[in-house]
Amino acid sequence: MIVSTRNAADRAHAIALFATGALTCLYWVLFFLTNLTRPDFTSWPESARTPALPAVYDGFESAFPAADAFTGLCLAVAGLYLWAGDRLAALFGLVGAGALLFLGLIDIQFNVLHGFYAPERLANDTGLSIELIINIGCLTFGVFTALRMWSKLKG
Amino acid sequence: MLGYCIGVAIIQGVAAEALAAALGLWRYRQPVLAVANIVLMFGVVQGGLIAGGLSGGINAAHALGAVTPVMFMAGALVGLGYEGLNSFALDAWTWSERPLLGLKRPIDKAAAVGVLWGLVPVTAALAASFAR
Repeated sequence: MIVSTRNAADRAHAIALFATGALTCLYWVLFFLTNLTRPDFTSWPESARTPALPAVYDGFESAFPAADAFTGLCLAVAGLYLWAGDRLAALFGLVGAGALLFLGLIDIQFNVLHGFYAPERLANDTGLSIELIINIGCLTFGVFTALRMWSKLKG
Repeated sequence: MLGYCIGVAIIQGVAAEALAAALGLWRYRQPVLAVANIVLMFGVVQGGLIAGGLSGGINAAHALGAVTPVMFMAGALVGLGYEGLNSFALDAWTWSERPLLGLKRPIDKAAAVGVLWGLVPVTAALAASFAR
């Protein structure tokens, strides 16, 4: 049996890293199996749509699963090493945090350019509200993980 | 589709356990745990829930290829949790001294094999789609 770390902060961070990977996975399971995470405009009738926007959105989203899988798995592996108190947690944590920030910033720029953060849109659209929460989570947890792992790397 | 996915995943489980036994890669505390691993983890979880659930649930707008990264991610995350649980708590199987993919430390083997679990639902779903 491998002895786990006794550092409570490392344990909590390890759980958060693994949970971030699991939530990323859950997002995509819901994306493919339900309409919960999709903005309302993707299911509006043809006459009410801004032409091309649903197609642009679906094209944009379809580029993410492999990159999200990489990010989520890096974070989960970092969590496993962190739970063991192993120095490799810093390596996978920094790679995962960088990937999380990269994906979050791409998403944010797309959403800003298409007006998805407008308050009246966010108020009435569950899919866009989930997007906003994910974007904030990517930035805050990405920065937090990068800083914490960097401090571990420095020793 | 579900039955095919479970069947293919169980075949993968039997092959993986046979290969591991032949090469002496890991040892179970009790032999029945190997059977439980093949039936429950390979068959039910990876084959049934992940491969069967995702490939059976996607609507016509999405091709199987679009969802395979998600299948890999789900299989690998479950695998990492499973390997971690065994490494830190269950101790149902232990790694031998033999290197695995060039890795020698148990934690490295657990991480690598955890990620490799992601291949099980992907290959099960792809093989099942060809077999149908």
